[in-house]
Amino acid sequence: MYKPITPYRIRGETRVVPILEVKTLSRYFGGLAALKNLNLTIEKGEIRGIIGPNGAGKTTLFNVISGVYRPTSGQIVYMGGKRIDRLSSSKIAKMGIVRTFQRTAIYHDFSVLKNVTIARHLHAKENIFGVFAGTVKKLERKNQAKALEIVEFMGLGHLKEESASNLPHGHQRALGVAIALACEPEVLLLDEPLTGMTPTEKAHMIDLIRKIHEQDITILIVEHDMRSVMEVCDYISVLDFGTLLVEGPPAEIQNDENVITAYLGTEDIITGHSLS
Amino acid sequence: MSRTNTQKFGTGVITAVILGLCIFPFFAKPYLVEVAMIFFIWIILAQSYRLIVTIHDWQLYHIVIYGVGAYASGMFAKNLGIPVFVAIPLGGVVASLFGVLVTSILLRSTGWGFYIATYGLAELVRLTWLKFRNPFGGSTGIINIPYPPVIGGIDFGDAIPYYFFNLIVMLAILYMLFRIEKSQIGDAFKAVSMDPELAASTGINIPRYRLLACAIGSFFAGVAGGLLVHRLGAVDPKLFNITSMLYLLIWVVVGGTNTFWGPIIGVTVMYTLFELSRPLIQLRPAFFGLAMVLVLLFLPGGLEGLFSKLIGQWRNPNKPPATETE
Repeated sequence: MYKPITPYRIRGETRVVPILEVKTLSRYFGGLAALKNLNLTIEKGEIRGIIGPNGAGKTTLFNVISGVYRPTSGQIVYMGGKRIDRLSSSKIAKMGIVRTFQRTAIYHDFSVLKNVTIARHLHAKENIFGVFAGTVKKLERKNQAKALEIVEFMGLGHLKEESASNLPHGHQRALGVAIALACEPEVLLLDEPLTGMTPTEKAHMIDLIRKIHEQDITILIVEHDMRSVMEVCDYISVLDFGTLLVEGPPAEIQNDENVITAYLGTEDIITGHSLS
Repeated sequence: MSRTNTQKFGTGVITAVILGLCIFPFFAKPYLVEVAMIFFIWIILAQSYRLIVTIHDWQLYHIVIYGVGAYASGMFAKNLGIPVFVAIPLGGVVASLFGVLVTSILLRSTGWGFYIATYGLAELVRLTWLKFRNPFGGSTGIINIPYPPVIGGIDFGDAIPYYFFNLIVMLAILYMLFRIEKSQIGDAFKAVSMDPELAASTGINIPRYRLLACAIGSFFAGVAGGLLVHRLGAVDPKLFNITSMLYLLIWVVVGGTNTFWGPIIGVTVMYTLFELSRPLIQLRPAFFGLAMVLVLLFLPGGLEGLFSKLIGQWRNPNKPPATETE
């Protein structure tokens, strides 16, 4: 049972609330509506797939949730009580919502272990005077130990001293996820985690996503690889033109006519004749 | 094994340099001792500027922060009778507060607007010093600034004792900056300079870290200002103009900002050329502008990049030089 943050004045009863609610969210760029009155409800502990054709607003959705963009209108409610739509991305990360990036976002000059240790910063008590007094050493060691744990969890243990720029692409993406995990998220937003990966790398990453899910972390995945999304997600939300097209378990979505039309259009690709 | 050797070599070089700097003033012409003291000040300015530049941007008012420290320290000592060795760090504090104030105003600016705004602010402060005869002394600046006192029989108003004071302050500042660089806070600084979006997504509050870097960098620049005025006995507003700022910027760019040693190498090489080129003083700005363009074109890693390549070759003469990874 998930306890809500805002105290419900009903004694002895715990209510289950969604961990993340997106309420009539809109985000305009000039006249273009990237997101339009979008409603989403994410339950704690689920793996939600967010799919849709290019330009549907998936990455914009992630950007708004994680605080990179402010919404034009609408709300995002976290843990049943906290509105996070006007907060900065570092604040939102501190509250437990962490995202990965579509691009390979790692610190190229640092070793694998250092990449993750830096992200532990959230859990470091720093003080500029502490630097000289040597009081931060103990916490530093604890953070390094936890970082090592995460690096090994992601299967990068044997590469921990390797410079991040030397890693093959698949490992770099795994490192990006490790960095996000270092922040001890409640909600993890994975933005196209399988991009540019070979089938083996994809299978490996899907394994890791399942392992992360076992740690009781809620996961949202934006992905284009349909097979992987259907395989790993409990529930799928399909976006098109910034709004919700349809939602449902993978089996339903796979065969939904509207989804197929959204991706492929309404014309026969070869003859150009209308299909409807 | 080779890592320990490099560390030993590095420590050896540093010790040799420090020893050299300690012996130097007893055998050099008095004029050169003065030149060396100004050199130490430039090192402090370059290293403090590097701190700000890596996490934030190439602001154009750092030399004015130096000036704020200079004016503050001079005025504390002259008008309020504060002892020189207290006035200098106090000047640093004033400079730090001022730097934080200015930076927080410009925190959300980026790009060309930012550079022009920093230039504008620098000029605003400099013109304030120029315009207001009272209390800043106007175009003639402030004179009769107290020299440091006699302590333990040593007159710090004399060249050689003050030289050692400058040397110790510079080494202390370098040591502090080095410790910060290696610390968790230094890691956060590096993370923000490498990938601010990624750093923010892991909870690093970027504006807060920018202000922290600015506070530290401005404090040291202000202290450098204090070191200056109590040697000269005067403050001249002409010292803190855009030309000096551009020299500082060029020397830091030429040295490189990727490693801790970049600005030190840059200042050492460029300041030497600066002093040697006094006979050709008219051509000096052109020369330094050209030097920066050449370095940007052919040596994008700065002199520090060249240095590490040379050292790498000296250590492993058979290995081909590593290609530069940016």
